[in-house]
Amino acid sequence: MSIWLRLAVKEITNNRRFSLLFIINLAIGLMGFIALNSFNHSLHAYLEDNLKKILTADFLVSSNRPFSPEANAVLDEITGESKTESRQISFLSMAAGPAYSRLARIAAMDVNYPLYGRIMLQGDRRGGPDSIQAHLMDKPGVWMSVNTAASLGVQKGDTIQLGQKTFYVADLIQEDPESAISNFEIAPLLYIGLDQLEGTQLIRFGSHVDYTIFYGFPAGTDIQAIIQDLKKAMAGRPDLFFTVEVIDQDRVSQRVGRAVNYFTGYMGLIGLVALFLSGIGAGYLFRGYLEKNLKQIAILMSLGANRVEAYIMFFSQVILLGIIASISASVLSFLVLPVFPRIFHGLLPPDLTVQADIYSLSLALLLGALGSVMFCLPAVIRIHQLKPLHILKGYGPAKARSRRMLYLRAAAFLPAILGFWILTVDQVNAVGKGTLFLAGFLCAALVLGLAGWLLMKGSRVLSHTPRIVWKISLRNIHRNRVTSVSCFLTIALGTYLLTLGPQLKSGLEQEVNRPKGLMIPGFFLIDIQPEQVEPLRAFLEDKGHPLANVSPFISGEIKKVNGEDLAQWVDQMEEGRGPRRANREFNFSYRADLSSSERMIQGRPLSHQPYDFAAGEPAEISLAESFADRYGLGIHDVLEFDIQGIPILGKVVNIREVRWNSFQPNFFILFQLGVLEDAPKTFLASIPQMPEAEKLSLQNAVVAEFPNISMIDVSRMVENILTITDRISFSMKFMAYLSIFAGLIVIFSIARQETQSRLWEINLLKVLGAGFRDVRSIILLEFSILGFMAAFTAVILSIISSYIISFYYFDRLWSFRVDHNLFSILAVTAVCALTAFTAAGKIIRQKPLSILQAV
Amino acid sequence: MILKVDNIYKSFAQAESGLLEILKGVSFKMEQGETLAIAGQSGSGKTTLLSLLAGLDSPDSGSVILDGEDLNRLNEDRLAKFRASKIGMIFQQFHLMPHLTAAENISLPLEILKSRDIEERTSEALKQVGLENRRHHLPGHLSGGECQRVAIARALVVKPAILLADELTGNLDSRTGNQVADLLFDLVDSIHMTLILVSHNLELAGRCQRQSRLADGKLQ
Repeated sequence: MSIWLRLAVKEITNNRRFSLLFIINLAIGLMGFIALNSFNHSLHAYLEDNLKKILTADFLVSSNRPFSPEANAVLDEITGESKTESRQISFLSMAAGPAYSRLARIAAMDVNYPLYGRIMLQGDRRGGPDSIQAHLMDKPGVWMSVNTAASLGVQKGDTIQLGQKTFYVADLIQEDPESAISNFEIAPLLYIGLDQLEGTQLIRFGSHVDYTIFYGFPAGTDIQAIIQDLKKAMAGRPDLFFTVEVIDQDRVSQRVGRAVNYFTGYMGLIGLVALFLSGIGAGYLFRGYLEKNLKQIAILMSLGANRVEAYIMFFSQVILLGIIASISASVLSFLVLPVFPRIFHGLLPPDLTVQADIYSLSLALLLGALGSVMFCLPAVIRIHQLKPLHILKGYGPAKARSRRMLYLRAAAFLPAILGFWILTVDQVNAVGKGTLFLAGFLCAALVLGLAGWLLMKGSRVLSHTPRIVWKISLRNIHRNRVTSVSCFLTIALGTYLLTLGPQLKSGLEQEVNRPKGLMIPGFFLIDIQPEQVEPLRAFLEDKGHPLANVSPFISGEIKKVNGEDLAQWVDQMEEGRGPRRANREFNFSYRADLSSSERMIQGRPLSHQPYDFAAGEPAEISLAESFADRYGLGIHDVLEFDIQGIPILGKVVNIREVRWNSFQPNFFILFQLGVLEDAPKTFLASIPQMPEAEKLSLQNAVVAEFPNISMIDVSRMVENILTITDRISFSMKFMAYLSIFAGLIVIFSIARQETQSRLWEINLLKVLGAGFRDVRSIILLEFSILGFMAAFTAVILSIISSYIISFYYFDRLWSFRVDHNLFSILAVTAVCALTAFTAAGKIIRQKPLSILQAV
Repeated sequence: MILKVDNIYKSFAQAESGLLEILKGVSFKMEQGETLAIAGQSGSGKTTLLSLLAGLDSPDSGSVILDGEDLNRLNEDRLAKFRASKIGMIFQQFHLMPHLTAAENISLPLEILKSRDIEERTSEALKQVGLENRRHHLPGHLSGGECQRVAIARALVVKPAILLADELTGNLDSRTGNQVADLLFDLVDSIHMTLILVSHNLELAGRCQRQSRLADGKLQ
């Protein structure tokens, strides 16, 4: 072993307190990082392994219109003889039990479903082709999950009503392809046989139906080649396939992956912040340790060691400690990982097992070794200007006066920033987002650092007080610059993370529960046939409930924008701004006046005059702001539509801001009156809020009378959304707490180190007559001021950030949470003071004599 | 001639008073085996001169030629190696590595130089300073005199061309100081070592062949 490595090991073992605190600091941050990374890997690996199970096929083609015989012939020819296929028709509908009814997704399938994966019925029986044939195709049977059966108040053998037809509950499902992703059910799945669909009369003009063909091929088939041929053929026959899309495993992987990435990416970033805070703590500790050991470097240099060898010795120590921290963190992460499925309960596939993987452990080892070097580099760089004889004479280290040294010191922070950037990009899997996060994070750190610096300066002014405890505490804050700013930054960043999430959620929650100036409806109704509008209105009025916001709903295509094909228009858009692909089919409506959930933000109102087809001018249209932004559209742009085969030109005259969370019928594109009145359509409507007790009977009555109309219980939906957001919010809070914990360890380390380095001072105070209580008060006050100011600044910053984020991303939904913010400030202050007191307790209780001996 | 110090100047930038000139043209020569004592008041530049002679700092102008090498012309790596092999240093506060035993402290320069026979040479050095029975003791468990003897052994173990001693007995009582001084001068005599001693102690300075005083940045 080289002399330097040997010395490094010796130093580590001889400075056990420092080594232990350094390892704990780094291990806490690394633990969160390893656990999250392993969780991400397990989740992605699970999804990757279960792609076929989720898709239930090698690929599928899906359309919202039935496949024509001609389209079927083309599909058959390309997919060839060796395939197996399964057909399914799915749509939303009401399912009515004897006492309860609810919205459900009906999947009418043939015997071959699923081609991959399986449906397991209660009692570990497989729902294979024979069962489907016997119970769902030959008889009007339905399969549903145990939860769905409970919500409809039925058991196996009972009957439910789907449209005009009565089905019996043939069996209850234990596991199906849907449960591979999540077990949250907003509209649970009911399986029926394709042959039994006809009698329901649920599919009418304008019904929202998905027609799907699943394809499976023998092993070794070049599936990608078939998909390419299929896409080519479909592009050549837009008349047959314009609403058809091919979904393969890549697509599912992208879709599921994107959703998972948003979530895990965010969690990963918070994990990184925890790691960063740990790094600050470790870097700070090392700075103090190095300061104490400068003399040893000086001795070594006076004995002939050069600076490189001195660097080697310290970096060996840091790397060794980092590796020990990584190993400790890996062991700890094995304890934390089993907790993850509990934290994310309901958001994850139920059979997902989370385990630490070799990639995460290796990354942690690398991070422990390199990360600790990066965080300690700004401290170690001081060796560069060390003058051994000055140190040995007890003059202390020289200050960086030369410009070169200042640049060198500043440059020493760059590897840490670069490393942090690489990790953020790795976490969110996108350079732009990673860079944006890092920039935002550095800005926040800069603002908080500046606030810390101002506090330090201000404390000098305030320290001109006759009260000795205040005077010394404030002077301590002022003169220990690095300590004060490090503590401030660490506490503030942790508090910022902890308060930002709830502050953001607060606005959303309030808006979802009680939108300002809007009444959330009790029910949202879809698929109302034109001839049902008036009978439905009369029926509801008879029951004492008005039918509100009745809105026509027309489907059509957007062909061109300003004379350019829509696909080309989208392709020209700046990468990342436009939609991923040009979806041609859209839903439109018409009305002269805006609803209470809309506000015109640009242009002029739509004309009240009915459109004159003879005039040859484009019709007036209004766009929702989000749609206009996504497709890069503005006032005066001209869009060419195909509404059920009739070409129509529309010119944008205004842009609307839409409150989608109002649960009122809203549309991306509204036409002026007189354009779409004669087009085939269905209607959407709502029923105003009513007492909870009346809801079920009204829903049952409407389902009985108008079985094809789907009713969405808005309160129930909001409840579901809030349950999911609560889960996500809880998961995020867990990570924020981890970062706060990392921050507390930092405070503990800093307070301990500071009190150790102030032994002489504390001793002097005691010799001069200060009691234990006075010394304790000084420490408590110093860290309370730091904690309070850091938490206060962080809360202010989180309020501002949450407002900005809400303004740009959540339609300005923002509200101020006094209670939570106030509690955060007080709690953080108290925790800081307590942590510092615990860290310093032993030292401040020592007798002055023993301290003198220690010196 | 083992050492030639030629007209060296050294100043430091001071925030308050601008440039502070410490050494203003110091020159002297030494032959192999010669001993020189340098005295001077606090702040007269003794430590600065010592750090220039040890190659731990470089002069603003002038040169230090030791054993035929101009220290100014050596890069940092070569200077460190040169220091390890040619210069021995002894300090008032001993400056031993606190977590290394007496033997480990003495062998440190040999390890830095990656020398052979480290064990034997360390034992020999311990024997020379009369500390064979203290080889496994940490500095904290040694007396002041013993610590300084370890420091002397450490300085001499590589057989340097010159020995620089800074207030050799400043941290020791007079009896122990005399014993340590006797030991040092005996060893220096026996191996014909060149010695520069910085000291306030006139009696100790008087044991050197030559005495000089550093005042106003010049050697008198």
